[in-house]
Amino acid sequence: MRKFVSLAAVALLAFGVTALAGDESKKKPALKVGDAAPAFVLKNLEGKEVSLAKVLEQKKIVVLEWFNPGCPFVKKHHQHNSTMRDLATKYKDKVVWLAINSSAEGKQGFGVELNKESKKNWKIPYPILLDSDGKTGHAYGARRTPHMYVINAEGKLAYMGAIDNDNSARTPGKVNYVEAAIQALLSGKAPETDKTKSYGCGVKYAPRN
Amino acid sequence: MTRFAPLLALLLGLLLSSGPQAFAQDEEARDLVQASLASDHEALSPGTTTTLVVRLQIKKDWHVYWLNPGDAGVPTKVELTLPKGLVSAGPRFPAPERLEHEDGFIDFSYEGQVLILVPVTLEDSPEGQALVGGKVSLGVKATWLVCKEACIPGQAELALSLPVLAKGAKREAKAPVVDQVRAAQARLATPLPKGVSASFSGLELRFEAPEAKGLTWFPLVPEAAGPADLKALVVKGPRLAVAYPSEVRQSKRVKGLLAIKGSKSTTYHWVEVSSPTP
Repeated sequence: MRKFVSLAAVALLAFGVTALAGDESKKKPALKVGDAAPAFVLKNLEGKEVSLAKVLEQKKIVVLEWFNPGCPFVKKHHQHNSTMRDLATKYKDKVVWLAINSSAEGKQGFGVELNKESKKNWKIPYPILLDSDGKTGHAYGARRTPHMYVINAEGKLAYMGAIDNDNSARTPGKVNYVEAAIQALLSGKAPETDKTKSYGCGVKYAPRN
Repeated sequence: MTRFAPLLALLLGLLLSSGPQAFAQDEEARDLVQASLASDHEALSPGTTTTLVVRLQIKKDWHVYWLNPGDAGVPTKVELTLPKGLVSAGPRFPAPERLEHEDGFIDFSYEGQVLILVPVTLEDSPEGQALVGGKVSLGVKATWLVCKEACIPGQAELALSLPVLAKGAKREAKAPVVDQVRAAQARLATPLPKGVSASFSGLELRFEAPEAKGLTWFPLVPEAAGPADLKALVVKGPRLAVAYPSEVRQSKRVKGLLAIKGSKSTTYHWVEVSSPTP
């Protein structure tokens, strides 16, 4: 164990220093609540393009849900419970809900057919957009599935983070941060909790070059 | 041994295989993490402590997560159920490894064998003394997320029973478990050594450890910033400066684990620093 630790530590130190040098040039400041939501144009499962800019013209609240049908925490909210579709349905006149799948080719959750199957089996009433090159995921800093973003009618980020306050694999949390954010925005207020740490599986991005 | 994990894994296996892209993990899921519980003493008596060892044996190439899982994942949890008269300061997790993924994300995780120590004390109180002559059942529930490419949540409910002897009675130590505890100590945090300085300006966390060959920072509080947001967590040499993003500056306090790599070994230390009050 010790030998492994010191070897790993040396390797990691070397890696860390190199990564540090690379990171400085590539890092953009992380997205914050209050920032304009990054624009995107992504294809849905029927191959049709969906543009955030166009969606925002409706002047409704927009919810983005980072999605991967293989992740147990996505299953928690779609298979074992119907958290997401219930919420989307409840507010369907006031909120546009979009799922985004940033799984890269060859990684878990990738593929039109797989996502179509999940959409059908889990009765998902909103589009699933495919972001297999991960550009949109990285633009939002989406780390896990599910990772939620609530955008206000002016196109600014009002909430980012977890769907709720229970990171177990089966039980939905008593506090649903996304619903709380939607309700706050509908009453003309800013969400009281505007940022939490998302929980779930890592988004299956392609390797960074 | 695990009780729920096989059932849960079987259910998950069934669910995972219901889609067109079935993952061939049904048998594997059951032995991805094997959990066991042992005690380094054979008995308790009022005013004495035993150290419980929660051992997670993880299948090769898979990992579970530390208290701060990093950019993805879910922390490993250990919860205790103790009868009246017994107290514990809670589980002590070993220092994690830094796992940097090819997509640039950083996890704080464990591979192979993880030993989580839980000291349990029988109080020298009326409640504690009432237990003398009988047995006590100590319950542990471990919950984790084990990942390789895919992630599978798991849990184990373990218990062991110890006799309670009279105050001052001789208690046997269990040699193999004592050895495990000793092995685990190497990755437990100790107070920051004299001569190592830590300071937080509100913008930057600085460490200076004059003899060190390398420093690594494993952040714990605040949670809002993921490790990929923090600049410079690992360096060669005795000086480390970690830049925190602006939203963290409002929290005024940072906490985490500092690993100091010496010429012979690496030591670990909890660090909690506040920024100076204006």
